[in-house]
Order: sequence, then structure tokens, then C-alpha cells
Amino acid sequence: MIFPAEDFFTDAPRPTPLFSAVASESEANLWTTINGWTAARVYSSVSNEYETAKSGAALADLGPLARYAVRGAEAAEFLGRLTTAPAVNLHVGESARGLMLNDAGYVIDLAEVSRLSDDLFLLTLPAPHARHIALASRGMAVEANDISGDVAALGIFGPQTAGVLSAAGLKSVNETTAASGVLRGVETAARPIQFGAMPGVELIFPKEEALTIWERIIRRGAGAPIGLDALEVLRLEAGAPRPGLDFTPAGRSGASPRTPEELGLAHLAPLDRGWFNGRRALLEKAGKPRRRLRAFAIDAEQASPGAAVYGDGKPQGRVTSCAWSPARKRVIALADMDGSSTGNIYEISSSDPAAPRLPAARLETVESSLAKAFADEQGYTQGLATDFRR
Amino acid sequence: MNGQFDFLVIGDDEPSLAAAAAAAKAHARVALLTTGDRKKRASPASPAIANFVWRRLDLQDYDLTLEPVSARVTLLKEGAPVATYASARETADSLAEKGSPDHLLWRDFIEEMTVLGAAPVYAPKGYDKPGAPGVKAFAALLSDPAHLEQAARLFGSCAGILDDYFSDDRLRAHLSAHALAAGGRGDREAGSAQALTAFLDPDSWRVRAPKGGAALRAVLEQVCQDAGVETTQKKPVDAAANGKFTNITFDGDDKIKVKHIFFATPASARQWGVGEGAHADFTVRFKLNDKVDAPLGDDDAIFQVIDDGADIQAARDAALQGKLCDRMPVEFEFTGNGEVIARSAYLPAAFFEDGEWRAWTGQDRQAAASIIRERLSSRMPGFATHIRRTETELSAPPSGVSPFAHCGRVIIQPHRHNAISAAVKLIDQVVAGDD
Amino acid sequence: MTNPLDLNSENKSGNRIEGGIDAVVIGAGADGLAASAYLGKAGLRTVLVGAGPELGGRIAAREIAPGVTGIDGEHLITVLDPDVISELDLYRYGVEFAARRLDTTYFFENGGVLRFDGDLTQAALLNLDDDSDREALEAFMGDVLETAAFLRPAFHGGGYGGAASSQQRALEKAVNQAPPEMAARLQRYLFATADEVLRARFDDGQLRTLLLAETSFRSAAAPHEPFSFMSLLRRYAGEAAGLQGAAAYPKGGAVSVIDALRRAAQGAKVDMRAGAPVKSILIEGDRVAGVVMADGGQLRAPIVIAAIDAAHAFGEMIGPGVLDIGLQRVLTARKAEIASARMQIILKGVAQDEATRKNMMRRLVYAPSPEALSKAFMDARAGHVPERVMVEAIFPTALDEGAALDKRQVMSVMAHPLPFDEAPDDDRREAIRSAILDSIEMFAAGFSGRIEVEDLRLVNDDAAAAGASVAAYAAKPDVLQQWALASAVTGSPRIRGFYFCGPEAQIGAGLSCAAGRTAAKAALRVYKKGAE
Repeated sequence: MIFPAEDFFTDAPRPTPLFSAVASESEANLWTTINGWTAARVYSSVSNEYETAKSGAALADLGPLARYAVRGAEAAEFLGRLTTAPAVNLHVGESARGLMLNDAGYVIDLAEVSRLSDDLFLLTLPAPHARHIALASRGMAVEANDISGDVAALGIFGPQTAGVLSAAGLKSVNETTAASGVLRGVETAARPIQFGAMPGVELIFPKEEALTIWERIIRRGAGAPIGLDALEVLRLEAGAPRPGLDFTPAGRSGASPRTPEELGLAHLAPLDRGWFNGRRALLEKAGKPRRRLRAFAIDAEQASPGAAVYGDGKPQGRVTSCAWSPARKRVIALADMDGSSTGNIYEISSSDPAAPRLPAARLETVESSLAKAFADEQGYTQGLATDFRR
Repeated sequence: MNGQFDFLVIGDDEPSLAAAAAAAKAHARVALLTTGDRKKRASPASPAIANFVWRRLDLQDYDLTLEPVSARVTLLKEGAPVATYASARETADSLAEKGSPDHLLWRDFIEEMTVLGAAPVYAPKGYDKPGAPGVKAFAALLSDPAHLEQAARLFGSCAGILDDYFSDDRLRAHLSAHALAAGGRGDREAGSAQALTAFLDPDSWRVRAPKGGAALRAVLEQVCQDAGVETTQKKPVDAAANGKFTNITFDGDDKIKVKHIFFATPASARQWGVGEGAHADFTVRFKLNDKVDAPLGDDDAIFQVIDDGADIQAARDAALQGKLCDRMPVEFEFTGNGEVIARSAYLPAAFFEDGEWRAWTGQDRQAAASIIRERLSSRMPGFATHIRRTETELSAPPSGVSPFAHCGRVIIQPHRHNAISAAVKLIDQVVAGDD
Repeated sequence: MTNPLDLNSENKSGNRIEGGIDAVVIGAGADGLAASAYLGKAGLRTVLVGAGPELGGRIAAREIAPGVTGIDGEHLITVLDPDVISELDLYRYGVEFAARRLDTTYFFENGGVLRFDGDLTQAALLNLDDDSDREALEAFMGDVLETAAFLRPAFHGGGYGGAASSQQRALEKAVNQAPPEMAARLQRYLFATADEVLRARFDDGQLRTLLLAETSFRSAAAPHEPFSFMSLLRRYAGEAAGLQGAAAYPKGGAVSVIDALRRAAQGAKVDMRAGAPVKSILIEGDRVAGVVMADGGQLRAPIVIAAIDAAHAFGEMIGPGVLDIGLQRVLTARKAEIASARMQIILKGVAQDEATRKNMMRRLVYAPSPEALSKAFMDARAGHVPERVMVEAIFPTALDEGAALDKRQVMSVMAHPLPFDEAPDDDRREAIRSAILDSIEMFAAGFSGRIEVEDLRLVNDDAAAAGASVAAYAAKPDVLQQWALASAVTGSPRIRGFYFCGPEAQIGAGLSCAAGRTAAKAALRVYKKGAE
């Protein structure tokens, strides 16, 4: 699950349940707010934290995300209606990514659904959507409770994730199945998650136990905290769009709504699966994207959001988010492009109007590969195929 | 005053002054008609000044500071006061603290109302006025279901939206009371939803000058003067259409020619007998002997008094029927100089008795003032004993024929919570339309 | 009726799956009958299923006293779609008008009376002392009729989304290209309150009073509310017996139109099944696949038209699990507040003189003063029964020779506005009864003494008879709200093969069939495209 954009107004952020634990690790002391919760941007340095995620185990406070416990006889049908995730087909312990769409088939937000038992699911969203959830549950035997502030959530990413889990005493948990159990007296749920496309595990436990669990992991030296800025690099490398940055959720003011296909996320809303809200409208829009969100590698030291993207000398879109990727030694960017733009080689305007434009090329990411594989399977590849010979 | 003008702006409240100044700064020739009998008094809180108005009027060149009121508070008959704050977070937290099940919905609510309120406005502004609902807009409405849905909600009732959104009836009563009080609307009547969306606009949050600071009105008067607005206090006696212009004759035979007659608020229009005349505004100033404890100990807030949510429509119905309602919603606030200003827009424009309409009398004013005093006493025990003097102000349509009754080019800004920005936006539109 | 594929003649399908059907129409009211007749006529194998023991919806004949038949639902025809009459050949199937343009008499609170030889549209025939009043009315009604006729497509209801939106686009084009005079009029009328329009055109007096009453009759929008003036345009956009704005009385009453529709459906070889309640609508993928009957049987068909109320069709038969969340919000957010009521009264005695006899062949309207009308709306909305209400009365026994009784007369009354109740108790019924009788007394003093039987019919009675949810029969809100609702129920479900023409699809009150026609036409367009 991806963090949404930072809050525009940061009045009186609430501390997440893990705040006092993570705050003690923060050397940079650089904070921001997400959904009104505190979130650390940097703990030590972006490059250190990035490295930890690549080679060790990075610990992220996922407290700012919105979480709902969904219970009831029709919980699976409800989630199948609310999100595009295949909730009905999930076995206990399984998780799936999806999207929340409005009636017109436009993306309201990303979503992640985990089945904890037959009639209990965990729904994770980048931002709370209490109203939409309340409306969707009308007439259904289901109860969706916002548990965001009541639980601590710790994301663990990187090759050493298993080590952290065993340090915490959770040997049985792996990266594909969710489990819940009592961990040395603390009721804990662990479930596989993806930050963008990077697999990891999320531990959820009562907020009263936040410090205990955190201490237990840190004391064994099993991982290091990672802040938003390093996570942002990982996200961009994976090609995952960030709500509020790469697109504005439908229904928000100033939103120019986007279909899943326009965000390069058509694989998260497959039309050959069961019904979900917005599906019938999407059928009419499928294969006709007006815009496309694409990933680029920019041959430069830095670039900035809002920069124009030129193809064949003409402006064809603009950069929505970007960051320096230590792995690729280039700036990686997502850009909102004209739907008809199909080339591979582009130029990006530089922040200095006098400087020449920066060369950029389409970049294949985990997300775009998924989208491409899905499109190949569906048979409408037009515009999605990347011809890397050019 | 003689000559030719683009605008005659009538009224001396903040929105009128701001609109006159804005038009003059856009190089329109503006005449401003004020009543002139305004005594030097503390002003009640006014709507906030949007950034674009600040820039249009170059208010940075004046010594003006404004402070937002602390909260909007509703004193219901039973239970603790309900309060909302400028900060969505603070509001949600306070709702959560009071155990309201709706605290999680607050953020979504603000967001949705902002989107709804930003929909192209097809306000029923009446005849021959700029910005009136265009036929094109109507055509577009018919062919786009999403658009139609939005318009139907915006022109639906306030209760229709709130009942569908919140389960906490105290919160619903609070929101209706604050959203509708200033315009005197009922929460169940069509069209009241628009007031709800406008009231949640950040520019609707009220502000006042800090103690000792320059009053907003005084600053705006100065801006008008600096921008070359010509001011008069003479009474207009006749307005007659003359081609593209209207000839206006004042007492003492002054004559001017104007393109547009502009009212920045329905209240200023009402005083000249034009515009919507279904209700009257009534203000009571209670001068106090000594300090009265404000509810919640917060004398910076804007308070509403209602018994419960049903009062709002009941009072509106009574006003439309030409009756005083003893359960009418009353808004009040404390001023810096030991006054309490209380007002209600739920009073009849005229009284309907024995099958006849009749105008307000002194007795009616006393009766209305005493209802308002009772309402305040019921929420602040012993309030009446602190009153030294009571002054009343009535804004009801005058009896007799309005000098503007038969002249077409009258522009009236409908009631808006963000009255200052709305008035400036409207006059800007008219100026742009003239070019 | 004899469908060779219908093996089960007793309407008991058990757990059988029935195929070979092109279209299922749910609901045997006027719109359902009309829709099925259109489909049958086009050669589709069509099954019409009605929940009640008899075909026909809320408009039905019923014995209100021994030997006296009354007619529930509607008592006049004002907005029956002329295209339905001609395309389904309803005159051949038995529709005949006893009176094509009823003369109207308006009674006022102060005892004043205005008689029109004709209706409001015939202002020239009005006997008024003051010529300027008549001229004002004539000019005003000229504007109203022209504007109403111009907007007629907008009042047809439904037809949003998908293939049917061409109608909407055509209207958009027409409105955009309206000649300046029409554009100015639209500008003035579209968003206006009835109060402001009428105040600007008429001084205080009888004309304003009666126009306010006509505007708000059967509408939930009070005259001071935005868009309320549109109700009048909607009313005068309608036609009866080929005359715009007229009120007509068909021989045999409004139920004769239902009978004719039934015959038309029969003539179109529609397989009509009464006593066949539907449990759910089958949806497979994104298309409709048929219906599941209450007894467990299935009717499989690529087209399903729901001519029942939206709460049943969407909330129960389709179910929230596959319903768009926004549409469900629109359906669940509605709250009915105001309703009309019907009363049929058997009066002792017959008219002794010619003048009285002639009076009884008119449409009699009691128009309360603007103040009383506005108070009535406030009371009704607050859940109280108003002291005085607007009343529209006719005498079927005088209008229709076939209905004449021996030494008795039937007076049929429609009263408005009254509070809406899901389940009114006896006290409430009694209060409504006396409010209606008191209002009639205002213009027919002493008539109460001649009452032999009175039969009060509230919306919950109609709903119970038709098996519908009560709210579906409440008075409709202002035209803008109706447009939005009609557009939501007819357009946004986007389930292929599914069409809706229940009461929510109709704009305004009255027997219209326009929604049934629109739904059937849309279904046929798609069906033919699929067949090619």
C-alpha cells in the first residue's frame, strides 16, 4: 500500500501509535503529516534507508494509512462491490490489491484487502473514505469499522524481512499468507503487503503494545527505520502511482478523474472478473484512455514535478512525481501523458528555461510489466507495448 | 452628485463597500449610496476576505488585521453545546470527544460539499441579471446525468443532504442552524442545500478586527475613497430607464445616469423594497452593565440558539405566514465593548392578520426583541439582569412603492455566507461583461 | 396468451427454467402494459408478469358501494402521451372520450367564482369583468403553452445514457438554438419559483390564486421554492384527446385506458401472466439474463423491463450487491413528505335544473388563497393535515352516460397537498377526510348532507393494491429533482438489456405511458442492433 500525498495543511498532526517509538530513532527529525498523522520523512539519510530496504530490512511506520475491519455475512460481497480486489475468491490468509472506483469508473483510491477469517477482512486504503464506505454498506449485512488509530502498523521490507519476523518471534509468518496469533501475549496480525510492487510484511498489533514490539525488533538489530523520502524512491522505481500526486482521487475538488487504464493500473480492475462498482461504466471506457500515466528515466541529476514532457518536439504531458534513483543513477519520473502518445524517447523541460531539455526514455517498471502482461492477455495492446529497439 | 456612472452601489455594509471599491479599481465609475445614519458602534463579525479580494483591493497598503472567530457554537435546549471549528481536524476531534458517531465523516463531508459548491451555479437570481442561469447551462444540464444529479442536490434541501450524511441529529441541527440562519431559510425547503455548501467555504468563516484595531468597514470606506468612488447619502426618489442607462433622481434634484444599480447583499436590496422580500432581519444590541459569562467561556465564538432542529423550518414557515415565532433561531455574539449583538432572519417581512397584510409596528419590534432576550436568557441564566439598554434594528421592505420598482437593470447578489467575495466576483463579472 | 413454448398453463413454473422468450416486462400497470405492447408489436416474444391477482396497476375499477363502481388512481386524463395513443392504436382498442376539453370552474376562498368555457388555455373564453385581466391571462397562457410545447421532450422522462440519449442531445440542441424570444422566456422560467413568475405577471387576485393552485397541484414543490414554476409547464406540455393542456374524461373513466392498453398488448400477442410475482432479476456479468419468479422458476430473456417502483426493482430484485453505489444513494436518500388523496363520494339525489346539470359536467376546482395554499404545504410537510386543501372534483355519473346511476351521483375528488404517510392510522384518515369535505363545503355549501357513501383512498391504499412501495406514489418533487431521479433510474444502472419505466421514470403526475414507450423503444433499438 502506497502513502497518499502529504497533507496540504498540517494543523496539529496526531501521533501514530508508533510515534514515540520511531521518534526516538529519528536523527534527522524531519516530519510531515499524512491523513493528519505524523510521518517521518527521513530518519538518518535517504541513501542509507534506501540501502537498508535493498539489502537488509527496512521498518516503516504504516500508521498513517486508513484501516477498516470489515465484518459480516456479506463482507466478501461488500468488498467485491467497494473495490476491484477479488475479495470473494480470497482464501483466509490471502491478500489482494485493487482499486476503489466511482460509478463512472474513475479511480477514487487504491485499496488492499486481506481475508483474516471467513467473515472478517482487513481493508487498507491510502486515505480514509468513511462516506463512500458507509454508502457502499447500505443494504448489506456488513459492518466496516475504522480501526486506524487503534492499531499500530509496522511495515517490513527487504531481503532480511524473515530475520525481523523471527526476531519478533513470528516464525510462522511468510510473505504470502496472513496470519494472526498471540505473540508473547500480544495479539498480532501479520500479512503480506506490497509497497508499490515491493513485497513485504505488515505487522498489526494493539497500539498499547507498540513500544514493546518495536523494542523487541530494534534490540536485536534486525532492521532500521525507513522514512517517506526513501520509500518514495522505492515507489517510483516500482512505477506505482501515488494518490494526490500522480492523480487526484475522483470526487475531490479539482480532480480530473482517471480510469484504471489511464493510470496504467488496468490489471487491478480486470473486466473479466465479477462485478465491482463502476465496472459497467468502465466497460464503455475500456481501450479508450484519454491520458496515460507512464514511467520515465530521465538522464539528469534532477528534475521537478510539473515539468513538461516533449515527444517529437511537441508537449505531450507533464511530470507528476520524480526522484533520484541510486540504483539506476537517473531520475525516475511518472508523467501524465496524452493518451495518444506512443513513443519511447522523450525530452523533459528543465527548471532553468535557458538550459536545454533533458533526454528521457520510457522505463519498464514492475507495475508497467504487470499492466503489459495483462494487456497482452486481454488483447488490447495498442499504446501499451514498449518497443525498446528504437 | 451629478453625471454619468457605470454603477450605483447601494448599501453600506462590508460587501457593498468591497464591491464598490473593486469596481472603481477596475476603472469603472462608481457612485455609492449609503444611508448615512450609521452610528459609531462595534460591528458584528464579517465574512472573511478571500485572498483574491485582498489583492484586488490592495489591502496590504492599509492597516488591517482580522482575526477569525474561535468557533461556531449551537446552544440546543438539551445537552452540551455543539461546536465546529475552522480546522476540520479540531472539529472532528471535538465530535469524537462528544461521542458523535459522525466524526469520521467530517472530512469527507467538507470535501464533498466543496466539490458540490464549486459546481457551476444556476442560482435562481431572477430576471435580467448578469450571471442568471443561462439557457446554455440548462441545455448542458439536461444532457449530462452527472451534472443533473449535482444540480439537483445543490437545489435540494439542506435536510436532504444532512439526513443522508449524518446520524447525529444534534450535529445536523447545528449545521442547519449556522448554514441557514443568516439567510433565514428553512432546512426542508428546496434550495437550502446551496447555503450549506457555501457556509463550509473557508471564506465564509467569520472574522473581526481585534480590539483596538481598525474596523473592516472603516478600512473599506478608505479604500473606496482612495479608488475614487463618489459617495452620497441623498435619498433617490425616482429611477427611470433611458436606453442603456437608468436616470436616477435624488432628493434635492441631483440627477445621475447609471448603467447598473448594484446591491451587494439581499439585505441592502430589501431596505429599498427590491429583491426577495419574504422575511425581515432583526438585530438587537444589548448593552450590558457588567460582564456576562459566555457559554463555554468563549466570547469569541458565534452562537446559535435553537431548541432542536425542527425549529428552523418552523420559524421559516411562521415568517412566510406573517407571524412571529417564539422558537425562532437566534444568532448572537459578544463584541469587544461589552455588547451582545443578537440577530435573527426568521421574522416576517410583514404581518398577516385577519386576512390582511400589515407593516411592522413599534409593538412588533418590542415583541421580537423580547423573544430574542428570552432566547438568550434561556441559555445564559440571568442574562436579562445584566442589560443596561436595548437597541433594535429592523431590515424589512419599506411600505410603499420602491423607487427602483420599475427599472430593469437592478443587480442583486443573493445571500451568500462568503458575501464579500461573492459581491466582488459578481461586480467583476458585470464589469467584464461591459467591456 | 397461448404460447406454444409455455408448457405450463397454470402460471406455476415450479423450479422450471423457461426459455425462448425475448423480453420480460415486470409490472402490469399502464407503463408495463404499454411497454409490452410495443415489444409484442415489434415481434418480440414478450411475457408480462404482474404480482397482483389481476392485471393493471393502481388505476383500477373497484366497487365502492353495492352496485357502484369507482375508479382508483386517476380520474382525468391530462398528460397521456399522444404517440402511445396513435402507435398502439388505442382508439381502436376502445379509448373513447366522453369529454375532450372539460370546462373549468374555479372557486375561491372569498366566495368568488371564475368560469372558463374550456380550460385555462382558452383564456379568451373567460368571462371577466376586466378586459386587461383577460388579456394578461391570454398572453401568459400563450407563453406557457409555447414554452411547454418546446420543452415537451424534456418531460418524456428517462432516456438517459446509452442509445436513448439521442433524445436528450436533440433537446440540448433545440434549447441551444432556441430563437431569442424563446431563449429569454426559458431564462425567465426555468429556474424560477411559481411565486415570482406569477407575481410579476399578475396582481393580487383570482388569476394569480388559481394559477398558483394549478401549478402546485399534485406537486411536492411549494410555490415559493425554486423550479416550482416548471410544474406548470410540465402540466401544460401534456395533451389529452389531442388538445394541449386540456383535461379529458374517457368513457368508463381512466381505467378504460388501462383496458385498451391490455387489449393492445393482447393484440400484440403478449403473454400476460397475473399473480406471478418476481423475486429477483437475473444478472449475469453485465447483462440481464431474465427473472426469477417467487415460486423459484426462471424466465430467461435478454431484455427485462421493470415497470414497477425503483425501491422494488433496484433495492430488492437487483439488490445492492450489483448496484452502483451512487445510484443506490440517490434511491435511498429520497424522503417523501407530501401526497395527494382521492375521494369518491356517492351523493343522494340528481340535479333538478339544467344549470346544475351543466355545472356537474365541468371540472370544479377549489383554489385556496396563496396564503392558505402556502400554509397547507407547510402543514403537510410538517406532518399535519392542513385545514384547507386544493380540490379538483368531477362527476363521472354526469360526464359519462354509461356511468349514470339512478337517483344518485358519484363525485370524484383529488385533493392536495396532504402529508405523506407510509401507514396512516384511523385518526389520520379521519383528519384527511374532514379536511377534504370541509374544503368541498367551501364551494358546495350543504353538500355534506347529501353524502350517502364516501370512499377515501390514500397513497398507501393504491400502493397496497398495486404491490408497490408507498413512497413511489407520493407527490413528485420539483421538476429538477424529478429529472435527476429519472435520469438516475433509467440511465445509470447500465445493465445491458435492462430498462426501467416505473413511476420514478415519469416526470409529473398523471397517466402518461411515455416512460413505458421510451423504455420499449430503447430496448427495441438495442435488440434490433443485436439481431443484425
